[in-house]
Amino acid sequence: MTRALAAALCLAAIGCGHDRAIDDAIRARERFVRELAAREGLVDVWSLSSRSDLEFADGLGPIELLDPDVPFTGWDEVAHRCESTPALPVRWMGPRAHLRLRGDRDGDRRLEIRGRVDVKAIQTQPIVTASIDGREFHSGAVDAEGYFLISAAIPAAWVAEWADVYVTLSSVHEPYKDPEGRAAAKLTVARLEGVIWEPRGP
Amino acid sequence: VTRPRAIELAARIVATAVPALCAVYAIASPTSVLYGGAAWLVVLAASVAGYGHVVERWIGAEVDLGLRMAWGAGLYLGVAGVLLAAGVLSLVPLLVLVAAGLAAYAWRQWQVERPILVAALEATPRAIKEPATTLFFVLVIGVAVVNVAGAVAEQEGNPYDDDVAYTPLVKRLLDTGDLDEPFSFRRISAYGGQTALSALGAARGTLANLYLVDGALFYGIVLLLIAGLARDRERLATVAASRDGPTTDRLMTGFVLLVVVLLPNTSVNTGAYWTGAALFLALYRTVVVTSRDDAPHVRLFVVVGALAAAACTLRQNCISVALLFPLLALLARPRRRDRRLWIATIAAGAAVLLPYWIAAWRSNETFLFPLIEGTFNPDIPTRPTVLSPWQELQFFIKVILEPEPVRVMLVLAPVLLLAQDRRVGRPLTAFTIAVLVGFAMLVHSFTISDQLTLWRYSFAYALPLFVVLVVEGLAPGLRRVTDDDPVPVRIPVVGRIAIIAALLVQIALSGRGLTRKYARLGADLERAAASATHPDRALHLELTYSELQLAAPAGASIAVALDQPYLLDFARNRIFNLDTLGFASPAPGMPFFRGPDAVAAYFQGQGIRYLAFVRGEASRYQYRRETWLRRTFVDTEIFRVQGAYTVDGVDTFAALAATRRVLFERDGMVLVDLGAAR
Repeated sequence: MTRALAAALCLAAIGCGHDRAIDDAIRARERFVRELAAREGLVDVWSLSSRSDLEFADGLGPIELLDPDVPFTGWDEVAHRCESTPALPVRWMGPRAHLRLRGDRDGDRRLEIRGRVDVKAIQTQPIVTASIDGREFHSGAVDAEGYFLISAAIPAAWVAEWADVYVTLSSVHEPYKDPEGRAAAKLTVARLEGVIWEPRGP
Repeated sequence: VTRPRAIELAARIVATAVPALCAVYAIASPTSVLYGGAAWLVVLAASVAGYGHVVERWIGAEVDLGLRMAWGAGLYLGVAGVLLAAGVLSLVPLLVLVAAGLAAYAWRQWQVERPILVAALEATPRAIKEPATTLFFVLVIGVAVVNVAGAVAEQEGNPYDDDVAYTPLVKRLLDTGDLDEPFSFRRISAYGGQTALSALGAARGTLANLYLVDGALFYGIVLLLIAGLARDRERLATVAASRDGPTTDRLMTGFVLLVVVLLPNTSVNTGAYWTGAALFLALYRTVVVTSRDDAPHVRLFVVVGALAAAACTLRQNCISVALLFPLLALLARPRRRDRRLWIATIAAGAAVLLPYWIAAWRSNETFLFPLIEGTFNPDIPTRPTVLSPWQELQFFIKVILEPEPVRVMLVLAPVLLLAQDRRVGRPLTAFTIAVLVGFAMLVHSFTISDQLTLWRYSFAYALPLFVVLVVEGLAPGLRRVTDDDPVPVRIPVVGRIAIIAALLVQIALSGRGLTRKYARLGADLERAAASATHPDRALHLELTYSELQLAAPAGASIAVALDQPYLLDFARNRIFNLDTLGFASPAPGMPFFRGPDAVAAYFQGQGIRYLAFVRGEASRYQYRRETWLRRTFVDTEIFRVQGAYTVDGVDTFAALAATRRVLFERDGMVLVDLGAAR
């Protein structure tokens, strides 16, 4: 009985995890979604939405649509506008955001990550570091307004399988470290505003 | 005639006449939601009890009312399955089935030695002698009755599940006798047992009592099954001399019942909830009866097989537990190679399940979804695009740590491991393993979901496991148990203390939000009661649907993507409910992301000339373009995918209406002739 249970647990452990390959049906659906986003003026939202080659993982909140006219005021609750009107899509992030990405056998790719830190709220200009599968490819301080831009060409060989990208903000800790926490709505000190992950082209 | 004889005669007459009178009233008052619904509830309760009596007679044993009704429900599902497979389970045959159950019920009233009303009268002096206990049980029963009344009165279904799929399936069954919906994801996700049960509630002439069967009838059956489990400890008339252990303390039984009646309702639609719990609890209790040496084993295992199969018909995720539990119980028997028991179980299970498989195959070309996908779209994910083993483990832990609605399940898990079941077949051990494996399979196969949904899906077997552990575990109270003690399950004293503590904690946790729940329930009751005094209906929506349908020729095939397709006449036209767009369709598969002409050609290739749809900007719920546009980008993966299909679908339908002949349009509802250009 014990051996049977152990065997069952081993089998269950082997069966855990999942990775779905990108096929033509998924490509067709995602092409439609990309074009739909362009038609509807929702490309910024689309850029923050998980898809078959990009997964927004831990350290990030769900997409929120903000009123771009409301100032970025840290502790204050952010006002939300009707989602049918133009809004600023963001994903609130903690000191470390995790993204997973992969190529689609389409050569080298371009990765661009835009974001902003509320420097007035945390009273510092953190260093933004980015790495892919442990290779650090970006490091620099946010600007005076708190904006940061990570831009890199990623060789196809790095993303033949899923690769882990970590974006790390130095000097951000309590109470801002958990964007998925219960008080996430108030932890509005750092956010992603757009991610581009696409073939580099000719 | 002596006075007791006269009372007995009167009790038999009353017990026979009440359901018959209720049937007349309920059918004569289809617009009365509360009183008509309550009357029909009495009819259905008597009918399933009647079917249960047939099973009792065949086995040669008399069981308590709860188990009898659950057995009866199993028999009804077996018979209904045959009619469903033949495509004739429509309104009239359903009413005949109800009447047959009533006849069996009446037969029992004149056969039984002591009528139930006389038994109730005889119990009254004892109840008066123990006022505190009686008061406690009156309170529990009072809450239960209020809950039942609330379920009878509730008329609002889930517009995403019930309005679009579950209620139309019931309407289709009543109109045509079949459940052939090759485009319906909700049809493919269940064999149809729940629809066959829900149709009983609507057979009196109204679809208004959405929760009559699941939330009222089977809720009551679950409570009766718990009371029977605690009181009778599987006593059978044939083996009445030796009970299977002592009766559970009445206070503890009262607490268990209180926990169940106060449970928050995590059901979000009319899908199987209490029906599943009732069948699994009955299945467990029947397996327990087979543990006894002097029981009619072969016939009882026929019932085991039939009940397990009946549970399978309710929801696909019930299948693993329903199959594994009897299998383990048979394997744990000392004479595990007793072929008669295996044959009895498998043959009865197959007899119940086979007709549902035939019906499922005819509808969706699969009898084992999701293993055989049939008309399901394989491009729809049920698991995330990428999920590492570590993430899956995290997901498992999150689900395990946040059980609903029995929030103390986690505390009781160690007690389950401590429980020793020495009965033949090890019913509790077998059931525990089956539930754990079934739940693990459910979580593993549906990691794209969330913990609340997964616990809701597993309610059918998780609640019975909780109930069984509490009732059987506490049978000896807190006294020390010796090896000779005839207790059903041995749990160390500390474990039993943990169970009692868990019960009390659960009651406290359930208390939160009760005020709001009962305020809403009160409002439902008031509204439902008003329906009897003001039976007139505006019928604006019904007339619009009727006019839309009349614009198509009688007998023509129509594909529909409407918010309330249950308002259509499924007998007049061959209606294909498109349900969740893109999730299911016959080969070669409905084309998406390829423009309107491909869709028109596909429908015409399927022999469907007419398309009825609601425009995305006019839809009240399921096909709202703005909602799905948002969800395409900002929701979880399953809804992002569904959003893409839905937005493409409603845009494509609108494009078809721009190029094809529109036969009807009002309030955003459109009927298009795909075979004629504008």
